[in-house]
Amino acid sequence: MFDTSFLKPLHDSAISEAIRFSPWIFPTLETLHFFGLCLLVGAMMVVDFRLLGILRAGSVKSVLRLTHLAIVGFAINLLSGIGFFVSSPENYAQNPLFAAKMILVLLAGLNVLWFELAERQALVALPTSAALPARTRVVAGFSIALWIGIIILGRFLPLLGIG
Amino acid sequence: MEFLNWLGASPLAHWVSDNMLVYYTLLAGHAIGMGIVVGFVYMLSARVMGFGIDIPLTIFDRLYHLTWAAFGLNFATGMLLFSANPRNLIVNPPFLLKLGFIAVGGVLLWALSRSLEGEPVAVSAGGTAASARSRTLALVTFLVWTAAIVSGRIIAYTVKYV
Repeated sequence: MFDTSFLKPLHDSAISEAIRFSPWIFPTLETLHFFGLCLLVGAMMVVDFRLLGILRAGSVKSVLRLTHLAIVGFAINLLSGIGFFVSSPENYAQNPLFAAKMILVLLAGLNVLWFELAERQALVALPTSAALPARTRVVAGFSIALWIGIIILGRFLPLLGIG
Repeated sequence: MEFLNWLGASPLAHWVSDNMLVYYTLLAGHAIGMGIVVGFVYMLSARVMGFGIDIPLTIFDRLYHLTWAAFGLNFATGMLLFSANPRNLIVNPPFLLKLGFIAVGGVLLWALSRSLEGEPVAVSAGGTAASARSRTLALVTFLVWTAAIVSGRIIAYTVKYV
């Protein structure tokens, strides 16, 4: 494992101790993390299945409105996730499953960025019945696979350290 | 209680509780199923309450099957997780509350879909607000499923393991 001593000041900080020693802050963050998960996964499920063509009702433009709920879910999980990390930074930094999870989150972010820059504009102009290009389906397939992987890694974190 | 003693001592229970990989796989499956079931409820209730009102309600019809499959997954993984610690879970208030919220949440989801079937075509086609009755049902359904998640999380902090 690499040297994580630079995280020691964070570990010793007042906010880290507050989360670590409080009987309710960590459980509350976990509950928020699960709530955000449902919001994010629910929204991405509908959006990605629509882009894959498994769901056909509604224009792509109308369904993409749900990405706003996905962003809210992601924001909740980013903030609660930072709370987890701050409570025990060295443990998370040394956990390879945490690193793997963060890599998948980064890839999911790049996937969204690609969609926004290269796909969205052309798709929202399409009529409801139009078949979507194969490259759009690839983006949607990546999205589903990445979020499933992120949940699995998240649940497995305690296996190799504190999670 | 005799049944629970038998269950807790069964080879199945030992397979789950003695094998970390099995235990965490069940937890991961349970989390994915939760994301699908509760995620579906969240999207449907948000849409009925007026968010993304241009999305036709028919888009949720095909997702019902996937949601039921995910519910089946969570029933199966939930039973296996339960078998690893039955005597403590059966007296754990958050666990019992969670089961209650899921039962009530299921009935509410059924009532919501019945209410939506009674709406004019313009409502399911999108662009038209659902009735106050449907919107209220959507809000309560959202809250009850959220309560199920919250009580589920509290189990981990209150249940005994011996």
